[in-house]
Amino acid sequence: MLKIRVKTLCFFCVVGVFLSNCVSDVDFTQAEDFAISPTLDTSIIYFEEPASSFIDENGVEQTIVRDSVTIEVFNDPFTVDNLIKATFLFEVTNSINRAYQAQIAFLDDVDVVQHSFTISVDTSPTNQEILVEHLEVFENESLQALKQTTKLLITLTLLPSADGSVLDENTLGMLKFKSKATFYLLIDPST
Amino acid sequence: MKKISLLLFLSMCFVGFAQNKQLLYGFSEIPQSLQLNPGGQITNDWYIGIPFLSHIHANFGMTGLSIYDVFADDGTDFNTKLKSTIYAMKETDYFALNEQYDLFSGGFAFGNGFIKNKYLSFGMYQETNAFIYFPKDYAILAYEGNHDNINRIFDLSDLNVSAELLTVFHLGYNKKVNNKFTYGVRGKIYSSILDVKSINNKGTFVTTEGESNFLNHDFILDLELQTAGLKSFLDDENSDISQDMKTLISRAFFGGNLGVGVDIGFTYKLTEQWTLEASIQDIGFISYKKDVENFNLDGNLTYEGINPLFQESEEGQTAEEYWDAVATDFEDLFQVDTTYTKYKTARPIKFNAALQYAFGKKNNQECNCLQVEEDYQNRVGAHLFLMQRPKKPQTALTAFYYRNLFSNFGVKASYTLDSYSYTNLGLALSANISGLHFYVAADNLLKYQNLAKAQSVSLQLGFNYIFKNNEK
Repeated sequence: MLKIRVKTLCFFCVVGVFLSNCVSDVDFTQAEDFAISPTLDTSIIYFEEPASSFIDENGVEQTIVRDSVTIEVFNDPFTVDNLIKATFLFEVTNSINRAYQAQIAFLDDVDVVQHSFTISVDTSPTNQEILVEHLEVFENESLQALKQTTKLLITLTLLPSADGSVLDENTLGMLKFKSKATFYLLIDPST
Repeated sequence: MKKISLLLFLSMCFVGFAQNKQLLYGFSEIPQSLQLNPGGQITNDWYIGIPFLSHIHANFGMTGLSIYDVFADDGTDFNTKLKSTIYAMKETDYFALNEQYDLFSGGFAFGNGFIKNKYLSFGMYQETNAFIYFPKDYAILAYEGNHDNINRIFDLSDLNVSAELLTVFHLGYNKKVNNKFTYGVRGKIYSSILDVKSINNKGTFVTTEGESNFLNHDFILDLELQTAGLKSFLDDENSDISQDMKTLISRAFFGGNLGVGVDIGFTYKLTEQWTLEASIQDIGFISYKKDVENFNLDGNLTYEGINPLFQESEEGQTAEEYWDAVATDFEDLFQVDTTYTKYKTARPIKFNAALQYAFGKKNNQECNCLQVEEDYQNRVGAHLFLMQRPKKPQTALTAFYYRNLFSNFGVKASYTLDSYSYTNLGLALSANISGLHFYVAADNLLKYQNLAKAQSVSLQLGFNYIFKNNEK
């Protein structure tokens, strides 16, 4: 019996030594440093229209096409907290024999313009594709403006031709518009 | 949102569990081994477990990482360690947690003959299980976003999580047919207190080069979360914990979602020294009818962007209406539908088998006047464990050595190969001092110097009162 007790005792001593030193060299407070920085891409506005789209039902040239879209994602609290940079990439391809201007305005919830820029594309007399790229980077002040934006106002202006000619049903060429946004996030729960 | 994701991640890091009890299996001196194989060998005439203390089992396991990998205090930036760990892990890596304790248990031999060859055992235990596969594609999407992952298909089925809390009442019958063959069967009634699972997810998210625009986003979502027993706790108006406790206790005692199951097993002595035993546990199901609430996210959407200036859609649609339609598409896509459909889930089946060879009879210097056959003092063998998991079975192979040191004192050492590690050494001890029986079993002993490095740890212990006629 005594033998058993001695052995049992030894066993528990060994286990005790193991357990007393259970978890070491570990620092759980490091979890406070947790941060991730995903980068998200999303398509935004696009269109691809022939010259005839700029004529109304009476055959009259429309010099201005304008519309707005409500976008709630920019001033969403999650975006406001975590967005550190954004870029918008636009690509306009013109093969119509007229120059265009596209103005993108960023409006806040009382329709005050917080930020805007204009992309111009030249006339294409021979209907060759003319490609214009525009990269708008949102950092610092412009990023703050973006975070107040609830509405995008897009204004497409058909500039007058040099020779006074106007578009009609038979005018050749297309106007293509592509865009995407890239959002750089830094998600740090400790801030 | 972000806090939830962090919490989820940390909780995943903490504990995961396996259910292998390789040290207890076939350790017939411990009455609780009969819960692993109802057809195991009986070595006592009756026993009664000390209530709440007869079997305490805790087991966690995680594959692909250890706590040390992420939280080592080694001066390396936390996010660097986290990132390299996440990138090294696979979608089949998992975290598992299993906890069990006996509320009560007991057993007794009976039979008409001089030698009682039948044995009835019974008891009730509480069990907690959690099993989470590492959601690899979700983690990569959260880490990188889709910017550098154009054309990468994010597989939404990587989300596979289940957790449950239940009690099990069981009654087992064991019969020693002859000296060679013993079989047993155990019936179980499950009472589920809480069940949460999201294991049937499908779908993909991919960003590709678009046709009309730079990018095309394709969402195919078919996600489902099933819960039973959760709704009444989340919805209830009262903040009265004692009321909630009452509900929990009533559910523990057959007031929850009920199910039935059966364990079967046998022991067969191939020769005097070779013994084969095998068992299948938890062939059964739980039918979730009460307090069920399911959430579904189902929808497809292809999105290239918006065309507010020249909508080609239906005639007469204004820009505002067009935009509303786009917004509605997205709302529909992420619309979570709630249903209250009953569901039934099969219990995860566990299979155990062991082949062992006994040798070394005790060299009895005293006269063996009673002609009682002495048992072999050593047993060596191999044990296989298989358990059904959603993606693929969990397997473990163990080599073991048992030594009977004294008549009432046995030890068993094990070496286990499994998905967690190749260096899992375990030790079990069973001591019976004047009928008071104590046992303890722990594996991954090499990791006890620093548990943070362990990928799995299993611990069982308990106290019984055991009565043997032949020791009177």
